[in-house]
Amino acid sequence: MRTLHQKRTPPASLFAPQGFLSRDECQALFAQVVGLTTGGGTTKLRVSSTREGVAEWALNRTRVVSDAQHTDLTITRTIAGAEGWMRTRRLDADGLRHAVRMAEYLRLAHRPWPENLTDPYVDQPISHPTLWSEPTYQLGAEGCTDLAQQLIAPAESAGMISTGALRVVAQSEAVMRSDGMARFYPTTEIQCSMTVRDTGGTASGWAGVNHYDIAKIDPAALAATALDKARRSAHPVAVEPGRWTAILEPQATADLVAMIDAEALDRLKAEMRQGPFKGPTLGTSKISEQVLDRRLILRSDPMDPEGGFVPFEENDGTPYLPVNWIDKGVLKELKYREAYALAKLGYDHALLKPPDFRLTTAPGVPTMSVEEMIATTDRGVLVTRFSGVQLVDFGSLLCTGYTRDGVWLIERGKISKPIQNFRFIESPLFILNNLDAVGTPVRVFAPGSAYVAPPVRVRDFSFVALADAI
Amino acid sequence: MKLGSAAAGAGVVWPRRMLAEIQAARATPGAWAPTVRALLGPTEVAASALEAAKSAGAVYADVRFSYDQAESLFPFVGPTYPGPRRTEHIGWGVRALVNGYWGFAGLDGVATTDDAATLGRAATAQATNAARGKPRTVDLGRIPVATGTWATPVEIDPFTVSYEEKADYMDSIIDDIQRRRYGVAHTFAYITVERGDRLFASSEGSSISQTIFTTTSRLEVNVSADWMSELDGQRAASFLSSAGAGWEYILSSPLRERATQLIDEALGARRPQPVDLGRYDVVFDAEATAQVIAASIGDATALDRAMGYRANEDGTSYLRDPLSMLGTFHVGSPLLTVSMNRSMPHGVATVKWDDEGVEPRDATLVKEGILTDFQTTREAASWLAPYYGTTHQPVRSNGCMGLVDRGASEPPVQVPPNLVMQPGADELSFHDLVKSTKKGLAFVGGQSSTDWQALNGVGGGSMVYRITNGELDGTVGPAQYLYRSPDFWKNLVAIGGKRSAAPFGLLTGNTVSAVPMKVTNVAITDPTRKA
Repeated sequence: MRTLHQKRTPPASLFAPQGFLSRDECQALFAQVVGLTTGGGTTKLRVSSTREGVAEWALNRTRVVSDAQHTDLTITRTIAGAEGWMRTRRLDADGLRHAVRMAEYLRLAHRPWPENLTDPYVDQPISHPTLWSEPTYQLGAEGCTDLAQQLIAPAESAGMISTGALRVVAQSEAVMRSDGMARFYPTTEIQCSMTVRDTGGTASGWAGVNHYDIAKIDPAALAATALDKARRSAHPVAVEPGRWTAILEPQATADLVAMIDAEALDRLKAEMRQGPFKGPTLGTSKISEQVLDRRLILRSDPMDPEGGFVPFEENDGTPYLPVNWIDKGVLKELKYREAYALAKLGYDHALLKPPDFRLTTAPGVPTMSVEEMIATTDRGVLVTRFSGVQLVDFGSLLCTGYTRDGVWLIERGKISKPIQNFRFIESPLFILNNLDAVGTPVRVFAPGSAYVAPPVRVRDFSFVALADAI
Repeated sequence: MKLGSAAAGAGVVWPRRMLAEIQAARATPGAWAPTVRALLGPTEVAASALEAAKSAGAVYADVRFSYDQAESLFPFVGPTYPGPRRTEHIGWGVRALVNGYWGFAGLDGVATTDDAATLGRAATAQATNAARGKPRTVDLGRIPVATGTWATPVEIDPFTVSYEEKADYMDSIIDDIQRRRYGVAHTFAYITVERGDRLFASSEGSSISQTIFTTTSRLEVNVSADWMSELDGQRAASFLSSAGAGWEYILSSPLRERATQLIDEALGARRPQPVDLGRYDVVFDAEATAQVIAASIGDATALDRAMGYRANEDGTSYLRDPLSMLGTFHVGSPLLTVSMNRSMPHGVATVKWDDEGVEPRDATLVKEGILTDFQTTREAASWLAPYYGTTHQPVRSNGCMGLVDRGASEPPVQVPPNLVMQPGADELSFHDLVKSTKKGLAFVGGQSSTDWQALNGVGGGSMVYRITNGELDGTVGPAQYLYRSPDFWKNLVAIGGKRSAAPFGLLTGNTVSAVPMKVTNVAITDPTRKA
């Protein structure tokens, strides 16, 4: 076996100088892949290359610090409309050759896709948001380790227990096609989240956010919030589940709004009578109907100053466009693919829904801070975030899950006491139609995505049972 | 190789070509070895990583290599199914310990000796950096040095069976099912076969390689809507899940024998009677029991969770003070005994060594209702040293270290082992338990989930029956059961015997073997009913 290995040319070092593959390195890789193909057709290479520095801590001590480089390649071969693809993490010549052969072999099992038989590729412009921050990149695993110490300190000196993670990701996403597409986008991201608990296990507080730029987040403030929530949530009392006026902090709003995802905002599905936006008959949808409170806008925009994201679909390079999916409560757009556009709309551009969103208010709508919402609430509950959210019914987007890490009873305009967690059954569409007050949207914790959501006060939130987990 | 409906009901059909391959595979055990060895490369690569870590100041270091291949098949290759998929993941990782702090460095791809040394130094540098914090101690205990190779015993390496042959076999089954009864709208099936080649070496001298096979499959029969209720019917085969086995797992599954039963159940599920919400005596079949065991006992007895190490992610455990609860805490009724292992034949979590080179031992987590042990790793085992000391057990890892998502290029973490619910002394079956119930419900299959402390849970069945005077009396729905783990398990009043036990491979990467059970006073609610 040894001789077998020695006969091969030794692979070059896998460490990329920057920690992830540059534009030139991606292009060189693509040229190498194209050189290995046989049988004509087109070739597509997706490269996702990452350097990840992580400091995880538990019980006030660093648990593990990790520095890793990851590379994912997806090679797609399309011949006569049928495509086959192979994913690999091998960059050596043998690995690439094997992957190309496998993609070509698997293609034989596929039928032609109509989308692959359209006119020649015409490049569509993409937007160019700033998603790179040099200080974030430079932080690395070492910086995370030092920063983690500073975040642990306040909790430890207060006699509480901090557990959390700081993760710095520097990444390049590239999609290259032999018919001319050449996309490359480098991004950075810092993910910071932590849970502070007391030693008796009677209290738990959480805070977290992710952003491309470390300068736009305040880890020390997050640590203070988690500690403060833990302190104030000790020894919760049970209150009756039922329909409550609920103030959802931005994270809680986002946890539910995330369920209005790409599956729900799908035009073909809606027209086939699936999901919440299906129309009254086959082939219709709720486009142009009011589906949310008139004050709200659900938007995704790669150029969003707070919630920008990679401006193309990471598998096939299709640009993401700025879209108001729901504008002043009215459903404006549902996503569709190229094949749908060709068949139904007479043009060949897809409209895709990224996993990122901004839920915001229409211009001129008065907003309220969480403190103001509390001050103007006679009786209600304040929710930090939700956990284990699962879809129960696609047709109404009914979800179930639990509140977690800080729930308080509000009485006569004041937080009166911490209360036990609830299990809920509720739909984001229902609560955003029962909107009482809305605040200024902020960036929340959604690793790998950009969610911007406001705090909201809603009527009749359905808490169905107590959940005494802390 | 389409087999017409003439072959239906003739038992498992083993085509001649497959038999030939089975015989060939049996004749050459370890036929996989050359490729693995060639890819693993010379052991100098691993040695160079350990050497670099040690000379940089690590008191302990280990290196892992993983080469994971997977093939997924959707036999109905149409516009909605993406057809066959192949993935090949390869990665290295080094873990180093300095003054009680762990550092890790990982890299995807086939590494050179120099790359490995760089990884070794990088892991140690991260640990050294972390070690500037307040003191922390890690006690890894002593384990025997592990050397050797091991592979999941498979009769047919699934990667030696061509895609076409796998797809043809499944297509023929689907064709057969589609023609059996009027009303079968659509039969959905998929197969995923995985093979993981792993290398592990530690600075203590362990050096092992393992090949782990997993075959996962699902078969789901969908029937068209009932004219009256306008509800569709759906039933997934409970005998197909995930197993540490090769292609023979698919060939030996009773796909044809049980197809008619699946269709009948799917058709029967379309007119569920409404159920009055309230508390019932509930009989769970083995699959439904396995789901509850995994969600409640399985998650709660993971020691890293119980000690708070995962508080910011998956959560903690309601068994939140392991040392004072061990040996005394009542998890449930005396009928409940749950053990863990990584040695069960065909278990998804079955290995010879875990990802720290520990040969896992079988441990009883809950004995006759009392909490007796936790799922542990080398570091975690030392946290229970006082308990092990007083009960005269060696302080030793139960062998639950494993690799997730990206394989070796991510730090290893504690993973769930196979779980076994011990059968009862009396040879009772699901139907015996139903017979003993005057008024109640029966849950068959389905899912179950708990909150982040494995305390409060909710679950549903693929089929829910009403029980009247000891008989299954039609399906009901929609209905789900709610539970609070300690209360639920205290109400366990009867369990099935040895012959009713069945294993189920779960998505969490482990197998749970369970028996049917009867629990009293279970809260039943409507999953879609708001407050």
